[in-house]
Amino acid sequence: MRPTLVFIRHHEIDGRLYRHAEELPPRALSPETIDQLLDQGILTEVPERRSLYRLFAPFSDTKETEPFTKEELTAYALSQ
Amino acid sequence: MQEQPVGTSTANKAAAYHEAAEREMALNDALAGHSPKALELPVLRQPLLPGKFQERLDELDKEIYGRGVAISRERLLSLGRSRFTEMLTKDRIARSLQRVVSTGTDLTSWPSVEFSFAEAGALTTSVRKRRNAEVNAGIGEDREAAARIAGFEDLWKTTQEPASVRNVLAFHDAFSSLVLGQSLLERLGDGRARSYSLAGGAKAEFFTDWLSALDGAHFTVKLNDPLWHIMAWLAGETTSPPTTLAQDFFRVRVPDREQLTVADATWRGFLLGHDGWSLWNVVGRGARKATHVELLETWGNELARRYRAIQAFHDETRTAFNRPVSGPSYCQVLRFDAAAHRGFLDKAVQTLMSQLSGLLALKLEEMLPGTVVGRFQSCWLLCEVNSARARNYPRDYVDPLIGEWLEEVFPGVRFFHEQFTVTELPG
Repeated sequence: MRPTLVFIRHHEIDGRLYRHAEELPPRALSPETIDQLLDQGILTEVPERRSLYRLFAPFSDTKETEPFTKEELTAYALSQ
Repeated sequence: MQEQPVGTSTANKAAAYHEAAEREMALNDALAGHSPKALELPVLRQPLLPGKFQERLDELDKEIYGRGVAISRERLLSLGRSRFTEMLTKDRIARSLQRVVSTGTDLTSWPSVEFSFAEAGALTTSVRKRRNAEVNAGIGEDREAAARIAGFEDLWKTTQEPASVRNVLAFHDAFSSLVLGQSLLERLGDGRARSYSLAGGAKAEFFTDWLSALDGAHFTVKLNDPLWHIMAWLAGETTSPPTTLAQDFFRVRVPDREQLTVADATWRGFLLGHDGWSLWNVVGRGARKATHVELLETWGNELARRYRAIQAFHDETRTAFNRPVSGPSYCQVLRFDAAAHRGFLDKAVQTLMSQLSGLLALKLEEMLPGTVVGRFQSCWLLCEVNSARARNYPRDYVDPLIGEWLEEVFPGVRFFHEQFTVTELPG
């Protein structure tokens, strides 16, 4: 799974403006385009940030998922 | 060999030798470092619970779990998507101020947020650090404990970067609510979500965010300020609860939302026996802002004067947690064990809240069988209109019957009908 991709500067994709430090939604761009933007310094990989899109996959219509921590589930989620 | 006292009678001599022997034994005990006696916990009043209460409640909780809550999957997904977009907006807003939150800050993670604030030098509080003299004298520990920033719930304590604090907390609220919403979706099967959190759990404040996803007609029954009822009953308090606390505290006629929140948090803190820096911490967490500890002391004293029985109850409970730490038995130095006291009181209150919530649910189930689909510890019930009887039952009859019954279980405290809120939810 690719680390969270974050914009370093403002960038527009399909009429939507992404601001600095905003996360790129998974599968919004092709891998080749992503690699180009990484090379240009428009995007950067930030492994220390979890992807909000993957954490909330059902609500972000993302196929990839990322788990919550046990503490988060205990504190906020409904139990079994 | 000790010199015998001169010119005294035999009885006086015996008493003198006896006293000397006791002093020597006490000195030996103190030098030997005997472990202090175990604390005898205070015995609190117990409610007059109906027969087999716990078995009946366990049975009801099992049934509540089995019933589940009717949720519309489409509505839940739509609500979730909308809330997710809102959360992304809040993430963007939090990151717009780059003094504290950097590109690498994970706003969902406390260690990451803490590091970012610390790196920006923004993790300082207004609470004065303990001086060496205070450390040596063993005072100011409560102040030191209150000043700790251990999680998102303590971020309000920082004095720097208030805008970043507000933005980060706004994001965190959205995040935590969405976590519950997603778990609701994961537990959805056959159109109903099942979870043990809905049968006596404590996450009512997150669950209420998702009520618009309910499928079908529902209503809620809530006992307002259950903590007041429990503490008034425990202490034998006869004075009525306050109705204009924010107006009294802030000397205004129309308090704003912040003032109402601070007043409510101060009231809750007083009911739970908090004072000093402990009260400062509790009020701050509730209102998400720091209030001067001297002002809280003034308000606390006003409440103590008004609600003498509750204050007396807390004073008495505290004395049971004075632990001897040194000195002979006739001249002991006592130290208040704050952690043990707080643990005891919080556990006792939680047990009573759980019992009160259970009683509420049992009575409503008796009046309208099969309707209760959610029971929360804050004495908030979610009910489904599943029959003609439930649909036609006059809502203004619900609370008087429940109130009368609760007064039998908690004799001496009144459960007036205006202290319940019955709300129809749009289906």
